[in-house]
Amino acid sequence: MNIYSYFEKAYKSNPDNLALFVKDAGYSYKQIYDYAAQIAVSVNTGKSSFTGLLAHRSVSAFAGVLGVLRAGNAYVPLNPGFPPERLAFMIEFSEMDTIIVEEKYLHLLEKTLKLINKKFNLVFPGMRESELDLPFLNNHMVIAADTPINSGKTLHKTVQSEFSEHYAYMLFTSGSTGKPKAVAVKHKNVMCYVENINEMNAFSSSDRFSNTFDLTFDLSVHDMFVSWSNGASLYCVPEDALMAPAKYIRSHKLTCWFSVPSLANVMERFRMLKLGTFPDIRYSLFCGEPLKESLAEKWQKAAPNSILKNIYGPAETTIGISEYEYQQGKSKSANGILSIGKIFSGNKSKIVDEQLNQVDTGQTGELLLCGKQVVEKYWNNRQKTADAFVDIKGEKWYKTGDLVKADDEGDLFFMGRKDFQVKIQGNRVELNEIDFVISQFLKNDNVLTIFLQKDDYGSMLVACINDNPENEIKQTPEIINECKKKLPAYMVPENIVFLESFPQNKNGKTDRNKLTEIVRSKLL
Amino acid sequence: MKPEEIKIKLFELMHPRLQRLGIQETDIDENESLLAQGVFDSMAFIEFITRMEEEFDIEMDFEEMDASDFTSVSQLTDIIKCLVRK
Repeated sequence: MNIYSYFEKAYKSNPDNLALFVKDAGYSYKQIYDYAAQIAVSVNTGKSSFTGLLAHRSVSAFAGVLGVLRAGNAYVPLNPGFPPERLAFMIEFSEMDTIIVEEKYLHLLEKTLKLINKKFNLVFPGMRESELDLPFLNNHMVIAADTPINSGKTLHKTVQSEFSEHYAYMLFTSGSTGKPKAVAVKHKNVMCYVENINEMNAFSSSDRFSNTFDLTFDLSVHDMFVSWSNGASLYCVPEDALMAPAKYIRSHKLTCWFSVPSLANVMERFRMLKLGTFPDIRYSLFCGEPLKESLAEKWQKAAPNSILKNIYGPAETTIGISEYEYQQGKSKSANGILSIGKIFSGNKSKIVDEQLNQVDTGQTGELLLCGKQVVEKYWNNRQKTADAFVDIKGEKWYKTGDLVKADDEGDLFFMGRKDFQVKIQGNRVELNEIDFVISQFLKNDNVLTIFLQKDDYGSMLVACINDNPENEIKQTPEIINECKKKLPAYMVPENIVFLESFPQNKNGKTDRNKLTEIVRSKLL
Repeated sequence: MKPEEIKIKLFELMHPRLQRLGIQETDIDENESLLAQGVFDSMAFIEFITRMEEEFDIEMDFEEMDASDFTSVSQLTDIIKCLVRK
């Protein structure tokens, strides 16, 4: 078994069911199956076991995921919203030799490949050879939809279906020392998640699942494989509609909703959570950020027929590893944040102090996780692996960096972070990574990015520079441009503040809290 | 309110952001999505809408709207014109 076989099984039992709805068009399981098969053959022309996927919210993106998996490879999503430098880093770091490209991103591909000195197999499933007569492609092997492929050697990988030990995907997550960390997840990790979530919820083949997450966010793996393992239909919400999804949810009668809480928050802010407005939703799942009990209550009223759950889990422990079911008036929360519930079967948790000693029930400590969903390491990064994974009595535990506490019934509560990681629309952001980019650019080590909560609805990143304030006006656009070149859009600071001096605490270190207050009074 | 006045106010609201990004007002195509033109990402745009509501003292109702209906300067101007009159 592997995660591709979930799709294959659904295809075999109901080939004509709707598998995917994207960009105003529906595709049956058979159509996606055939498209994925075509892509799998092209993928097998490469030798690396990782394949890049430069496609986004399109049929080739989803068929691309399946095609790569069918070929026995792992996919590495290359988000077209990321700058070329970051994409080039991801391409080189994963040592991929094949990239599947959606036609829309030819220009981005050109800019990205300019930064890498390597020959690639470039697969264009949606284009013909005659459309690809472009100078920058001359150094690469181009495989278009109509390129004949000698399939003799391609079958060796596809025939074996037992690849639960193989990697399924590789994602990158913000790294505190300036470079993203790579997390490679195996089929067996995902299968444990999918089986857990399917057992705890009664999804069916008539369900219509939302897909709000980009492929670079592992919650998209839930969208795809929970939907397809149930023979259900996946509705990819267009990027524009993500700002105001109420109409989309209603007109497509979505039954299973899954998003970050901030999206629900925006909907609430813009009066989209009216009483009973989403009667078709059967399951409302939230993950990626702390879920406020007050927001859960409002969502529950807008989607009264739905079971509402709060899911928790870092990418290192595969999609989600605990869940809590909200019940109006009877729910547990801490500081207004809904409980994250209990750890999924096949995995276990420990709450520890700095010395890794277990803390007493009710005490806050760092959450450690171990089990079938937990990956073993960061890819090619011994230092980060040593920092985050620890052996305890012969078992490998992942140190989440999340501070939690447990109550008498074993329900967990998220209490905050141990470090300077923040969440922006569910995306993990290490503030140090932003500092690093700006420090390098300005050749100034005194850069500190802070996360400023503006009100219930908004927050912003502000980079503080310890330098002459007179430089602020001139350098701000330059700094922002540099950040845009190096970082995903959600990590680019909204504001830059130059300060003559940084406030210090007793130990002579910069006082982050005071700095935050200074910036707050300056900007808000 | 006249459409021209609304537009001037919209640009005033956008001014700090444009300045930070180094974008000239004259470079903005009023008929194209501000997101597609790189002025906002979706979160920043939502915030902009919030400030716009405060500035014009209006409440936009997104329940029946697709987001692509309100992302350009000219679309926003039309919407504000209707709401302010009410």
